[in-house]
Amino acid sequence: MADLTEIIDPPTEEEVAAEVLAGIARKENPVTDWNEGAILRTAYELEREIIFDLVSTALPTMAEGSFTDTAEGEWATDLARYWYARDRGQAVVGIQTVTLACSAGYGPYTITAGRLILLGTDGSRWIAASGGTLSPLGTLTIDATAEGPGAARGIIAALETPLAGVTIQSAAIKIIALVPQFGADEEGDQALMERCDTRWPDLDTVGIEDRVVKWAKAGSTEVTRVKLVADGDNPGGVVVVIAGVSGAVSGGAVTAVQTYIDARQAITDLNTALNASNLNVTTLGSVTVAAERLLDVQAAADAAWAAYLAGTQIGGKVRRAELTQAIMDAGAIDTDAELDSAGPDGNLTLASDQAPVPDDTLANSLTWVVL
Amino acid sequence: MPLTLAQLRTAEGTTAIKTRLLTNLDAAGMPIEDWIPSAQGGVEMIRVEAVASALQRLLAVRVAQLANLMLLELAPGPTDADPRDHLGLYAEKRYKTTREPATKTIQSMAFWMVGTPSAKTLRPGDVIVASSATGNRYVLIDEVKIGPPNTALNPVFGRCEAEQAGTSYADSAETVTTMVTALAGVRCANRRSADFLPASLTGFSSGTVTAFFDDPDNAPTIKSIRIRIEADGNIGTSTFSYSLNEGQSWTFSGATGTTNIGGFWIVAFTNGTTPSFLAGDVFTLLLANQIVQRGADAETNEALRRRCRLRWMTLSDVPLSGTIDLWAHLASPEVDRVLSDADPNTPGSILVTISAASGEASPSACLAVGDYISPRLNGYKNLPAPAGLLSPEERVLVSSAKRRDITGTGTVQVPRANIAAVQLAAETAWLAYLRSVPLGGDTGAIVRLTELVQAVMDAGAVDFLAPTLNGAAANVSLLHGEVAVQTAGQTLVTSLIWSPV
Repeated sequence: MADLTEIIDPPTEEEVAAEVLAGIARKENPVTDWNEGAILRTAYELEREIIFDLVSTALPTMAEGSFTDTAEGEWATDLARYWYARDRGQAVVGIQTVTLACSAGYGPYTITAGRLILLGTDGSRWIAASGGTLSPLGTLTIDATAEGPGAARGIIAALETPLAGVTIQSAAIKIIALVPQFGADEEGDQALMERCDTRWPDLDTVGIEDRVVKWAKAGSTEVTRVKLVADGDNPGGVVVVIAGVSGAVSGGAVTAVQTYIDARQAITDLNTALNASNLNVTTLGSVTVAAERLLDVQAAADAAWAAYLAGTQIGGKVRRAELTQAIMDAGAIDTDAELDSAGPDGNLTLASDQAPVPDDTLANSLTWVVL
Repeated sequence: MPLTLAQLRTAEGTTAIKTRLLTNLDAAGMPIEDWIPSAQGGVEMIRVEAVASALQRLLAVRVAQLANLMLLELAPGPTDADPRDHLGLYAEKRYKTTREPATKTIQSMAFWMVGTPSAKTLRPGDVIVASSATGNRYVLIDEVKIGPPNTALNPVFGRCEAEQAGTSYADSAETVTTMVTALAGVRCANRRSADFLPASLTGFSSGTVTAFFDDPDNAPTIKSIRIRIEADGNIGTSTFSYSLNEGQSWTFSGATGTTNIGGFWIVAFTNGTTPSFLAGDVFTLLLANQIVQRGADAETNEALRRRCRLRWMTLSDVPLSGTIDLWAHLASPEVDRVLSDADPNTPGSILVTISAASGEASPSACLAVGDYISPRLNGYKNLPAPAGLLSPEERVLVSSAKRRDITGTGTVQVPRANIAAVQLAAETAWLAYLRSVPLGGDTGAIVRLTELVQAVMDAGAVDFLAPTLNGAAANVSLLHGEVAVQTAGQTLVTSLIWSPV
């Protein structure tokens, strides 16, 4: 297959010069002065340079700017936006949390946002984004934002704005809603072009997750569990049972999921979103535990048991072995805990639309024997 | 004045460029009317013409090429004059789609011995066989051990690959019988090596199904036998239906067990792990063919453009007909045309019909396409069926299109000196047209008489009298699942009357 260079095949500077020269080398155009600076020579050189720039620079640049494997800079930005509907990731300002300490005999200082400049270990400058009063022998924790956008490459370690007796006690990247505020550099050409390329799904890839399950989870953030059940009332139809970490989801989530699926399903499909019904799981029995660890073991066992139930598939099985493991892993000495209304195998089988939820905490429902 | 796309796509001549330069100079206030012609030594006009000439030679063609490279419909494929594949480059860069290369036909070849020769081992590349009718030659690609027990009724089989790639290697059964590499006492014929290919399963049954002809000399032609399990169980308990028309309709048979279907085909079941056969599962037994893989020509420009356009459909999570089409092409290089239908009998099931460029697709291509598509159908996977109903799980049944022979007749008046050239051009155009007709059931699946007339007249004929298709002066509408092919053994040279004028 040809490549872009083969197709555009830009001429060399010599080839351009020869073509232009051929046009003026005519008997009707006698050359009386070909020295540097002569009018004819100067005009020729200008024309040669303009044409070379157009043919050998502008044209290849336009061609390369049209495709993801060769586009760069602004070409890549525009190609991504107008052909692939993707915008280049913008640079983001980093944020750090800094604790200032004031020595005895200094201060108090009033720290004002925007007025205090700090220095990172990489020499970067950070500006106070919050303030407060820093008293003698006291500390003050403030936020500081990077002077400019870009990924943070150093932790704040010093003050640029001089404050006598004030030192940096600690500094760390600030975390907002579990997301560290490292900042970010502007997305590079290669990363942007790769995002554009992946707009075409890979035809060789075999998907694992059922698309209706994927849609149900995308339809509402409440949904963490989905079970598909063939619709016995509508041949070919499917009931999409949904649940969240706490069992049944809100009515709004059911509507959102139905709307999301309706907009995407094939017109021959019939998917009906259905909220899961909660099945209260009651635990029975006793747990033997060291007296000094009772509260810790109860808390850990409850957390593990709740997590297990939250992850149990709708219409699946609640297993007694998981209950035992949650208790013993928490640090119990022994247990005979079991599930109320369990089957002969000790497990609780859920109906196809049921999601299990704890009836009560293990601390309340089990008998705790302390040693 | 801005140029139109049409102007950009055509390399400008020197005169046009010169005129445009002068127009712009005039608009800029230059006294071009006063300029002395270059032939009389006018300096200004000499400069204008020099620049126009250089732009024409250096820029015009490149601008046109670049403009054509910006749109799928405009990018040209390789030609004799310019072998660079602009379209292939565009398809690869813009749509991540690569032009499919030509592939070779592979035939199943039976070898046997006559007389009392000694045993032989035929190694890959050792043996060349040929069809005396077409001249097509094939090279052995398997190792074959042959001895006196291998008589005409008990041959050994090996695969032979066409010497060249392309669709023209489509010799029918029992026609490749010439041992170009003459080995004493060894005979050959292209022949299927079994009645049916091993059953492919859509579902999870652990049991298996086999089939064979009750009487190999007396069996109506079918493409496949499909067995659909209707009730769970082992042999004798589970029940099944069968389809002889690619899943279009089903006939309930009864309990599983060795069964003579239609009086011509014996179907046998073997148990696996209880329950061996699961309701809703489908076993497909494809009739074997002497052609293991049909060769294909290099993908045409229009076919490549079409695959690029189909890429848009892959943006949907739902597998659309275009997605199925692309998957089928990726599954087997033999696939040319694809038809997808919703199965009228099974919820969630898709009936896919494929054809090769030369007509029917080989059974192995059907299996490859089914195996490729099945795991990619990500709707309602493994969903148990409700009582009394079938599971809506998405499944696919793949079949080859059925050939519909097309014969063009009529009298062509043609200049005596050009007969051979006209015949060749007409034949080429007619075959290209037949390969562009969609499969029966798809939109536009009609073989048009006017296309035959156009192929002949465009080739250089003077007149075409009483043209017909299959004996009638009318179009031929393809039935569902049919692929239009020229009647075997015929060409326009033989089916038309060529009258020199």
